[in-house]
Amino acid sequence: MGENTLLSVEDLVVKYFLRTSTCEAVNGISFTIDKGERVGLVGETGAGKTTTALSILDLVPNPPGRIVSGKIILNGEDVLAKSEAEVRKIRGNDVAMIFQDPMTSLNPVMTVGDQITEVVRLHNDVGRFEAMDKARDMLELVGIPGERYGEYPHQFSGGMKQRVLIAMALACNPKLLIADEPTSALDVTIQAQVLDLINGLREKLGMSLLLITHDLGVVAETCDRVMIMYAGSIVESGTIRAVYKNIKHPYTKGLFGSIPRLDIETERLDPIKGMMPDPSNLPEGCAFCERCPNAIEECKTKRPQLEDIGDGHMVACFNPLKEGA
Amino acid sequence: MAKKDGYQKEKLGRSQFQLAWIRLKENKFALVSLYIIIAIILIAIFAPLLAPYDYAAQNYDEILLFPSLKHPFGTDQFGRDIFSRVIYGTRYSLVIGLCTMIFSCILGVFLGTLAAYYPKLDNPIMRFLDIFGSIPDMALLMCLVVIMGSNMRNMIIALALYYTPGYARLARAKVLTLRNEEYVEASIALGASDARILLTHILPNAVAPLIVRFTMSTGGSILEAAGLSFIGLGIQPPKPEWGLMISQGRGFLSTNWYYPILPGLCIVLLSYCLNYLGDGLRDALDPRLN
Repeated sequence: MGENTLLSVEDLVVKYFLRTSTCEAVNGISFTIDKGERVGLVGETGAGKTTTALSILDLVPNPPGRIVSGKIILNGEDVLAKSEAEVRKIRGNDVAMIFQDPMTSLNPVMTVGDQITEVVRLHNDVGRFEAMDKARDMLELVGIPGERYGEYPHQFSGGMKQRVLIAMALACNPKLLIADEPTSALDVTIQAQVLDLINGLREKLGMSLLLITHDLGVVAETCDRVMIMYAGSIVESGTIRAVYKNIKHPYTKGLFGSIPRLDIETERLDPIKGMMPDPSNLPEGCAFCERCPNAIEECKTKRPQLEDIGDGHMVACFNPLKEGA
Repeated sequence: MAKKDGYQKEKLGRSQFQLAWIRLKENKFALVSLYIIIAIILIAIFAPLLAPYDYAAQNYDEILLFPSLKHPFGTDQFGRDIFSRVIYGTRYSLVIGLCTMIFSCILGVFLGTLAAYYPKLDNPIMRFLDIFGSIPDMALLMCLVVIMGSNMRNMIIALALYYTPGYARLARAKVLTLRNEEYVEASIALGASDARILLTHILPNAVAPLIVRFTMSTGGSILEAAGLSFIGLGIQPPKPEWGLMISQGRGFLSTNWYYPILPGLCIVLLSYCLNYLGDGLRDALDPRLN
């Protein structure tokens, strides 16, 4: 673990213990995020992206979920070994999270200003008026006039609510911002604004960013590094350039094949066939094996591990794609 | 800076209670109800000044008189002035109705919230409250009052316990849905403690059904108290409790209708006003309705 590492997740396993089955949501993933780095976590619905993010804050709903094993080391300290009160100090202060749906993420009976003030006062020993000043500053920082401090969430549009949520998340200058599909519920024009805002503020405040999305385009624009997740495992990771220019994992290729492109004329898109395996009943071998055009005999019995193929580009595949494929 | 401070003061003062008050004022029914309730409270406080006669003074020359200028509400079978008794009765009925509701609301909401927010406590608390619910109401109230001793304070305690499970169930149901709201989750992710989440995010969103129940049950609790008084467990004659007056006067309904009906109308008036005020408050406290 380097000098510059902010967060290091080691061999994280999260399972949801349901009445009749056990859902293996996250299966031994490891990654690091450096100070000031922007990392994208991409995968389809149900791949375990959100569970991974919640684990970082020790927020996996328990029951039924439980972090079975692994370490989450933030600033050199293991989050999972801390007491509830200690973790609470980390939440919002060191690591903040923006949720998917801005429509429901604000308390409808509190003014937006008071909600930001509350967060400021949770983590800073400041008086009420000082905190209110800070909250107004935060509103202005995200481009909302301070005069709207006393308004209620229903008086704001979706994009503005997301801005308020960003203001809340950034109110205590966190070192890491986790954005869980921050733009999924917004329309495209607002998406770009919100992403620009997050990115601009990230630079200004020097935070790291973990951006969870299923939009490869968003990642390309916003992130330094990308991790592709499938059925609870990271299947490919590396810098944007390495992964986007030199796709190695058949799943990543499938993802790219599902996006319409402006520069190439195609009659039909080429989606990945089949469905993601049931996480409560994962196959013995590679989880992608059933849908993989490149599958070989080995894939059915053994699980591939992430291996470095140079330049920090990691792939978990027994039969990766050839250069330029 | 000066401008900023002025702005803050203005917004601070107006953000919660003043805005609610402005909205409440627009609702005429609620406003009139509020005034009537205040009047009833004042009547209770100043009863000795307002009542023309002593509530317990008997006068056998004037039994069962029809309402007249001398006795606006008539007299009862002991020649006591019903108007004076209704005025004094305000003290007992108002205190019983409101105290019962306030205590049961606080206790019920506390238990219901705990049950909903901490799943481990859910079954112990709710099943214990179900035991209360499984006993017929009068039998439960009688037992409690007999065990604790028959006086007004114990009657209020018994009634409060009797009304607690209803509040607990209502609060639990509401908190169960609210705790899965995303803003609660977001608040947890920003490091808020359980107490803060419950007090600032969950309970303010749960007040609407609680207010409605509060105002709807107040009249009921006054009548329930009357029932207890009727069988001699609670307010003792000659104290003039409204419900007690109804039960004493119901035998005279065919000959002297005003005797039970006038105190009854007082209970109806109080319940109506509380209902309208409750409705108005519920709307006024919800910022989304504007």
